Amino acid sequence: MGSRLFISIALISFSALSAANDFGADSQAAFLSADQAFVADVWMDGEQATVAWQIAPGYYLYGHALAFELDGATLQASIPAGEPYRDEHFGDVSIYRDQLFVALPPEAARGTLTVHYQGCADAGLCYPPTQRSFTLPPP
Amino acid sequence: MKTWIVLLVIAVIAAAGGFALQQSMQAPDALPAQAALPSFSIADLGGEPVTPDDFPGKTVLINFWATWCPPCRDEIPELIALQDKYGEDHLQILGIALDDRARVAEYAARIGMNYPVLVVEGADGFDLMDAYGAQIGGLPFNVMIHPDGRVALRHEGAVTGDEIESRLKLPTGM
Repeated sequence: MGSRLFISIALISFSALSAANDFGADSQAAFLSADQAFVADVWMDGEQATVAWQIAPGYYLYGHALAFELDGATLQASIPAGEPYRDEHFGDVSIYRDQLFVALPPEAARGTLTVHYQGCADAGLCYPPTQRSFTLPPP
Repeated sequence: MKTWIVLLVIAVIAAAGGFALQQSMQAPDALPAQAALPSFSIADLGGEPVTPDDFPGKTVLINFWATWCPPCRDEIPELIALQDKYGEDHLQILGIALDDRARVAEYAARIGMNYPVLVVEGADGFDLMDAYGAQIGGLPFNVMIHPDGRVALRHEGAVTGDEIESRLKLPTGM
């Protein structure tokens, strides 16, 4: 009886101790890292390179922040129409959710491709402008 | 005899639990005192260097933000209101903009920011955020430091004025 009582009280006290350590800790939404929220990849179909993003639910990319360079020279890519979005600072812009595919011009078949992008989470966090580089054609 | 041993163990565990609870209430995320936190000296928009040590006796709220960050901009009117309400004696907000200086200056003037706005261009600002405990590297990021050096709030993502106010250390009766 005595030992059972001791074990019960010890378990309760241990639980209380664990809870105490969590008490007051900051509560905030668990955000993904930028690389998890916006997974960028590139592939070739013949000589046609396409950049693709998989965008996590609850996150979006800004269209006006998309930019592409090949060996340091700006590429004019055809970016599909996105979801209209009214931003107090940027004005009328487009955003992209779920996935985005951008076909690059034919000259972007060989070299170092750098893609620039930036996005936010609906829950109230924005990631800094990010860039990723890819070797074309992909290995 | 056995009963006494049981009671003694219970008393020790209860005391440890109470101590842990007290400590966690004082230091929500158990960060070290301000002496161990990074400091900085960054020029404000007028070119004057500002450090968190310039405000002894006040709670300092460091708000990392940028003009390109909508949730950051949404916070700023609340920060202005809090600085108005508590800035005299209890609170000093420091806005650290990770952004282009000219854009920040235009925005701060237009919105009427009533606390020092410091600008860090390039990656150094994100390194400073990391040093203050940012995990994600996104904005906004707020860190509140009480006058005794304890971190009272460390929050990535949008935070409300009520949340900030609830973490302020105010004299009894306020």
